[in-house]
Amino acid sequence: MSEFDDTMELPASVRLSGCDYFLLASENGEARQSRAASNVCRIVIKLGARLDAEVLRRALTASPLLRWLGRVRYVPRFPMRMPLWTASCAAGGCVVQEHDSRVFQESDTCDWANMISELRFDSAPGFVFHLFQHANDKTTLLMAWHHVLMDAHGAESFLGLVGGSGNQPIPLRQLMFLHAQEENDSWLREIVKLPERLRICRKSARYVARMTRSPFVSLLEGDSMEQKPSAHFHELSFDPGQTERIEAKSRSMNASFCDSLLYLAAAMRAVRAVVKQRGTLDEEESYVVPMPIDMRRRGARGPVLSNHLSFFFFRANPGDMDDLKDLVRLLAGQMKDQIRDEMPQAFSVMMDQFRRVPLPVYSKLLRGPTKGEIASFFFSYTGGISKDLGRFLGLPVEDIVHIPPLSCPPGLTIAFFRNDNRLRFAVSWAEGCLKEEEVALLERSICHDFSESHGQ
Amino acid sequence: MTYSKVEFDALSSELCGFLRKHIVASHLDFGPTTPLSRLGVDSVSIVQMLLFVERRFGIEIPDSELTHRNLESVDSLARSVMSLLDQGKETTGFPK
Repeated sequence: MSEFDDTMELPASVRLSGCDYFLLASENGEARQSRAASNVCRIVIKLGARLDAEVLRRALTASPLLRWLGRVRYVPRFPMRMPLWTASCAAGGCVVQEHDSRVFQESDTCDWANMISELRFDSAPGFVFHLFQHANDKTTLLMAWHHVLMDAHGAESFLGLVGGSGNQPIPLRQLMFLHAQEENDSWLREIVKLPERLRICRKSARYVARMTRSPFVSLLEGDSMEQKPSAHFHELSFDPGQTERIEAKSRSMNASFCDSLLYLAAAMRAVRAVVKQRGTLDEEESYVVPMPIDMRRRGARGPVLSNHLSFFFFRANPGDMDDLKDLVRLLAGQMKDQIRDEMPQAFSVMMDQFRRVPLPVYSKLLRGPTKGEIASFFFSYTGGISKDLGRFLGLPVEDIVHIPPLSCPPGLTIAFFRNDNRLRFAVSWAEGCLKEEEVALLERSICHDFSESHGQ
Repeated sequence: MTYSKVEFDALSSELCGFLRKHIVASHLDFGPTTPLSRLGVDSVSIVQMLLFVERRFGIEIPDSELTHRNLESVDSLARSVMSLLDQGKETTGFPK
């Protein structure tokens, strides 16, 4: 178990971050009932030995902090009051389920992931753990959590706490509470800050409206939004040699040192290839992609709870996408402009400000004129993951895969991450958004763009 | 023309200050020679630093300067910026 300064009294509740509330609003009401997979995130950890369920259960309740995290729920409050995560003593902790190995093969990562289609974060724990015991005495651990509760970085910190990867004492405040300063803000201070914050909100809203204006490409066809489509997953791994070549290619493309821009450009071109194959290519329709950015301080282990994300917004016309290098340059320019204008910070302020808006109203605003469609697909690059998670509860970790959450619309998420010197990508899509052969086309297109000879 | 050690140290310390104020967690102890990768500084944070330098000195850092070597630590970035400033002084008398 990691050591941390556990002497500070744990609070009864903490505020939702602006991003938590934003995700909650996207999930709210009838939208929540009809959407696929309901924004569930998953991490699959393949262990080199057998992990007993009882050992994991004990680890999950070994400290007051972990017990606190397991009991956290979202409790609706009166309109205009700050939304809170509340730890209820009556609430049950994290759920651990064990499964027989004979049902699944070790390689069926994506099939396991599909077992969890929905998680609650109001009446039940926001996390679940599934243990798949294999005949060869190894275990695969699947942790699933609702995105409203925490982001991927938080989940990794949480796993580090449970699995005991850290050996430095970590201050509790650093682990959990980003909003420490904000918690002390009085009503008066909030009112004094309001005019400046509203100015920032207006700037951010104008920018987002400009970047996500219609028309833009959507892969959802016909009535696929009306049903409750199931979610599908696929992942691919590049070996260390290929990864090195891909990164060298990124550097040669003037991507301003951001490898993620080559991955994003390849993903956009892959989606365009699918649209082209369908015969629905329209030169008027742009490709709009938001990319999350971690707003935590670099090198910080926490906060664990809540989403600490903002977004970049990228937009490209089909004519900008013929040449990979040109597209990377266009995206690099858009990213630089947004950093220069402090757009991710402005979007964060806007999300924070919206926390006082009643949830149904916020939800309606988000789903307003575009029925919630704000992107052609979702993209994320989490960088190097699980660097500290070499062992979990004393057992060797053989592999870790992040399976990205899925929201519908847009019904497609493409995520890249690095693990063990290997670049990997995972695709999540909703039934009716992509066919199996289109997923193969996506993969082929991305691999083609990554090949050395192309686009140099 | 070459830059003086005083100018170099001043830039290095300014860049460390920027990192401390805007990017890196407050509990981390680091200096100008600490590898940025060890601090968890990612590519987006590097772009933030580059834009800070561009704004501060009114220069544009060409992509050719964005090498792993130049972005290894605060000192290596400062060295690259100082030589760019030197070139500017020689050719255009800039910065003013």
